[in-house]
Amino acid sequence: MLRDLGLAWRRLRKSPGFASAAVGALALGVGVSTAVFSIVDGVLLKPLPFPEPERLVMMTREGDVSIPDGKDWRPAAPSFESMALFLRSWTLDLTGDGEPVRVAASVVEPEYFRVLTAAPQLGRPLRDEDDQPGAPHVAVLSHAFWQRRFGGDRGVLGRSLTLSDEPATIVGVMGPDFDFFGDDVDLWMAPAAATPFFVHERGSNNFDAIGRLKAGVPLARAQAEMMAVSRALEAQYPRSNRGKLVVPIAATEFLTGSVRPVLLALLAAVLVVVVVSGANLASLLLARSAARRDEFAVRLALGAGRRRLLNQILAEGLVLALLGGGLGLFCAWASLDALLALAPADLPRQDAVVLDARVFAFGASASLLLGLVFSLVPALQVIGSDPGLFLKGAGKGVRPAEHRALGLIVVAEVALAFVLLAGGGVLLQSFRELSGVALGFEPRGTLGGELSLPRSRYGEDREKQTRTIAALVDEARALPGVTAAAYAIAAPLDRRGGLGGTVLFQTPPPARPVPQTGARVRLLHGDYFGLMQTKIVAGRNFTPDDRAGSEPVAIVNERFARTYWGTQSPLGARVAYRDFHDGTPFSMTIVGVVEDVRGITLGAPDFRTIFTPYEQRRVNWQAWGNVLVRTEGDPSQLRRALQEAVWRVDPQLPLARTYTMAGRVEEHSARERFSALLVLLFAGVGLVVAVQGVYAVLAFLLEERRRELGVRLALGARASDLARLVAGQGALLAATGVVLGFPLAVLSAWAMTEVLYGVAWTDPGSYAGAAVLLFAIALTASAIPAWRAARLDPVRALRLD
Amino acid sequence: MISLRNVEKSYDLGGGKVYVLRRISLDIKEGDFVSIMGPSGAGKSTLLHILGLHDSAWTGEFDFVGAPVHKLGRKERLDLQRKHVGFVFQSYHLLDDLTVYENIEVPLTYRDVKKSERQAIVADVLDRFQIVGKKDLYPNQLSGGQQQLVGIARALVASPKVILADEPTGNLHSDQGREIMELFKKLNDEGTTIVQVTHSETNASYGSRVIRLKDGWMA
Ligand SMILES: Nc1ncnc2c1ncn2[C@@H]1O[C@H](COP(=O)(O)OP(=O)(O)OP(=O)(O)O)[C@@H](O)[C@H]1O
Ligand SMILES: [Mg+2]
Repeated sequence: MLRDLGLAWRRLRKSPGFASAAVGALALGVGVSTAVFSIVDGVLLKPLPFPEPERLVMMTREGDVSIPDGKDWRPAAPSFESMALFLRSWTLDLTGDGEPVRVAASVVEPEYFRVLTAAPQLGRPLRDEDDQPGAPHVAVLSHAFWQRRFGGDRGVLGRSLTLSDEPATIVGVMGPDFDFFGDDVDLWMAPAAATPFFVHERGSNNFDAIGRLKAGVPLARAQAEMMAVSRALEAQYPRSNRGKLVVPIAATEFLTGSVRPVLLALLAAVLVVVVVSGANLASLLLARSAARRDEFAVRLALGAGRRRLLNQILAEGLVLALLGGGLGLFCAWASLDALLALAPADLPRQDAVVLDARVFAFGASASLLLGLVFSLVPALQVIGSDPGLFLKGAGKGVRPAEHRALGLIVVAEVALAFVLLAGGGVLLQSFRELSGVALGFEPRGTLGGELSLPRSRYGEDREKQTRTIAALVDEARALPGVTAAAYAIAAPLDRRGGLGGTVLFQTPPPARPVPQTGARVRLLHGDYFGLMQTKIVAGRNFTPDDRAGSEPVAIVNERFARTYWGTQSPLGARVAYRDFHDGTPFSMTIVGVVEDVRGITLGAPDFRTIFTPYEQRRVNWQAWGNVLVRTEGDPSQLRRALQEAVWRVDPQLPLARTYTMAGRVEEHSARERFSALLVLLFAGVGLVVAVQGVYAVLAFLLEERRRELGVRLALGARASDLARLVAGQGALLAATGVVLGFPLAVLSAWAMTEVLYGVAWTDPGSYAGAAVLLFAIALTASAIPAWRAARLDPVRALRLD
Repeated sequence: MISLRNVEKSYDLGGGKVYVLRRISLDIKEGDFVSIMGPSGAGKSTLLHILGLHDSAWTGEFDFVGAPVHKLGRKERLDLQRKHVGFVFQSYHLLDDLTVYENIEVPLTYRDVKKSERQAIVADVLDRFQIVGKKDLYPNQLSGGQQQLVGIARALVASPKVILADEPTGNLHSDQGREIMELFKKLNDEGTTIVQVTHSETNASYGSRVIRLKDGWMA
C-alpha cells in the first residue's frame, strides 16, 4: 500500500492541473464544513461543563420566578436532588478602589453551586448561612473578573469590596467554565445580600430556576410535580400566580433552543457543501480515469490485476484526501476567528467553540470519506469493465454511462448551489427587511448610558433623586456637540423594558370588553421624544411644567390608544396604574399619543406603554435608568465625556455601560445578519464548486468530443455552432440543476419560516436571482471550453483517427 | 475550378523544417474524377485536407471556385468549404449518438435549410442510396460498408460541387469497395467533381486522372 501511495504521489505530481483542482475541491469542502462544525459542536453538541449535565433542568414559565414561589417548589418536587433560584444579571456599583465601575452580579441561592456541582478554583462557594437575613455580605468572583480587576492575585480572599455602598468580603473565585450562560458575570452573591427586597415579594418575578434531577428520574416526573405545585400556588395566590405554570426543560435546550434551528440549518448547509465538493471531486476523478482509459486498458491487457488498478485509484484518492484535508483543516483554523467575529454577541457558549480533537476528527474523517468514497466511483467503473471494450473504445465514441454519471454530478451540484443561493437570498432579504424596519425613532447620533442611583446614598429621598437626574441631564445637555439630552427608564431595544403592571380605567374606554389590562410604564425626564425623534401623533409633549405636585399626566403609545380607544381619541381620559410593588393605583390624565417604536425587538412592535414624567413618579425604588444624548457628530466619541458629566454631579456614580442606539439596532439584527452571511458564504462556496464542476465536465467532454467537433467542422459547422454546442451543454446542465433544485429550495426556505422577518419563504426575487446568477455563472464556466471549441483545428481533430 | 501554384507545407520539428508537400502545382476542372496515389507518408491526406479547406498552414497560391484561398481568413475559408465541399473519411466518422437519418441531416442544419426542406432532401438521399430501412439505426448497428454509404450520403446531401474522399474504401472488403466506386462513378457522371486518395489501382481506374505523390513531391 505504501508503494501505491508513493506511486500515486508521483502520478499526481505529473498532472498538477488535475491535482490542484481536486485538492482545491476537497480543501474547500473540508475547510468550510470543519469551521462550521466547530461552531455547531461548541454551541449545540458539546455537553455543559458540569458533571452529569443531562440531569440539569431549567424551570420555564411565562415570566420569571419569585423567591417565595421557588421556596414553595422545593418540598413539592422530590424528583430534584437540588434546585436553586438565580438572577442572571444584577448590577452593582463597585467604588472606593480605583475608578467606580458597574459590575454584573449574578444573584444566586447558595444551592446553585450544588446544582451545578462546581467547586471554586480558590476559596469556597456561597453557603446557606450567607443567605440568611443580616448575614455578612460575601461575594464569589468570576475567573474573568478576578483576572481583570485583581490580575489573578491569589491574595484576594478575605479582601473587602464596596458594592453599591455596602461592604462585601471576597470568599472565593470560580473556574473559567462556570459562567456558562455567557452573561459575563463578575461575581456571585446571595439574594439576602444583593437583593433583600425581592426575598419576600411573591410578585417580583425576576429569578430563573435551575435544578438537578435525582439520578435516574425522568424529566416527565419532574414536569408532573412542577405542574401540580404551580396549580396549588395558583389556587393559593391567584393575584400573582394566575396562569404561571412551570415546565422544566433540559438545561442545554433552554440555553441553545433559540439558536438551534439556525445552527441546525447551518449544519445541513455544511453537509450539502461536503456532498457538493465530494461530487466535484468524483467528477474530476471520473474525467481523469476517462482520460487514462487507454493506460488502464493497456495495463489490464498486459495482465495487471483489477485489484492492483483498484489499489492505485484508491491510493490516489487517499493522497488527495490527505493533501486536501490538511489544507482544509488549515483554512478552517485560519478562518474560525473571522467567522466568530461575525457571530452575534448573544450566540450562547461561544467560548466552547474551539478547534479541538473532536473537530479535528470531524475534519479528518470528512476528508478521508470524501477522498475514498468518491474515488470509488471511477474505480468501480474500471473494475466493472472489460479490457477488450476498453481497447476498442479507446479514443473513440461516447460511453453513455460515464457521461450520464458526470452529468448527474454537475446537475446535483447546480441543484444544491441553487438551494443555498435561494435560501441565502431569502435570509438576506429577511435581514434587510429587519434592518430597514421603521423604528419609530432615529438611532443615528444617539448615545446612551445606564446608571443606577444607589439606595445607600439616595434611599427613598425623592427630592434628591429628582435633583440628581435633572442635574445629570443638564450636564449632558451642556456637552459640546450635544443637541438634546434626556433621562429614560428603559430606552428602546432593551429587554428590561420598564415597569410592568395593570391599568385601571377611570374613564371607561370604548373597547368592550376591555382587553388585557397589562401595560408598561416608562418614566422620562427632558425632551425624550424630541431627542429620539419619535412623533407625537396627537395631543402634546411633556413640558417642564409637568412636575411633582402638578396635575399627573401621561402620554401613551399608539398601540395602547388603539387597543382601548380604537379609532377614538384617548386624550383627556383618566387612567390609573397599579404595579405589584405598591397596591394603590396611581392616576393620571392622558395628554398625548406617540407613534409606536420597536421597543423590545426589531421584529415586533412595542408593548402597550404609558410614559409619565420622572418627577411625577409614584414608585421610588426604580433607581435604574438611561441618560441619553443626541449629538451632531459621532456619538461614540462622547462616551468618556458623558461619564465625566455624570461624575460632575455624583463622583461615585458609574455609567454601567454606554451604547449607541445605532449599535443597539445593529445588535438586534446581528443574528439574522450572521445566518444570512453564513448561508451566503456557503452559497458562494457551492457556487464555486458548481462552477468548477461545470467547467471540469465541459472541458472533459470537449476532449471526448474533439473528433466529433472536427467532423462537424468538416461537414460545414461554423465556429459559433461549435461554441453554442458546448455552451448549450453548460446551459442544459444549469437548467436541469435549477429545475431539480427548485423543490428542494422551496422546501428548505419553508423550513426557515420561523426565522424569517418581512419576507415570505416564497420570495420570488430570491429564486429568480439564484437562477439567473447560476445561469450566468454556468455560461461563464462554459466560456473557456466553448472558446476552445470555436478555435478547434479541424486537421488536428480529424487526425485523432 | 481548383488550381494550386507552388503550394508547400512543412512542420517545424525540433531539428528544423520538415517538408510534407513540395511545390505542388495542379489544376482540377469541374467534372474531373481525380485519384491521388502514392506510398504511405507521401502527403496524400495532407494535400486532401488543404483541398478540403480544413488546413490553412501552408504557403503558395490556391484558387478554389474563383476565390483566392491563400488570402482568406478562417471564417471565409470555412464559408467557402461549407458551400462547395463534401468530405468522405476513411474511417467514416459518423456521429455515434445520431441515427443514420440525423447523420445525413447534419450538413443541412449548418446550411440554414428549412426543416421541411431538409426532410425532403434527406428522404430523397436515403431513397437514392437504398438505406431507407436503416434510417433509424445508429452507426454501431451498421456494417462497415453500410457506414461508408451513409458517410458518402452525408457528404453529398448538401449538393457540393466537389467531393473529397480520403481512402473511402480502405476499411472495406473489395466488393463493398467496388460498390462505393460505382457510386462515385455515377455521381461523377451526374457532374460532381471527385478527388479521392487511394492505394488501389483498381479504384484509381474508375477515375479519369491520377496524381502521384512521393515524399511530398508530385511525380
Ligand atoms: N503534426 C505533424 N507533425 C509532423 N509531421 C506530420 C504531422 N502530421 C503529419 N506529418 C507527416 O506528414 C507526412 C505526410 O502525412 P500524410 O498523412 O499526408 O501521409 P499520407 O500520404 O496520407 O500517408 P498514408 O497513406 O499512411 O495515409 C508524414 O510523413 C507524417 O509523418
Ligand atoms: Mg493518409
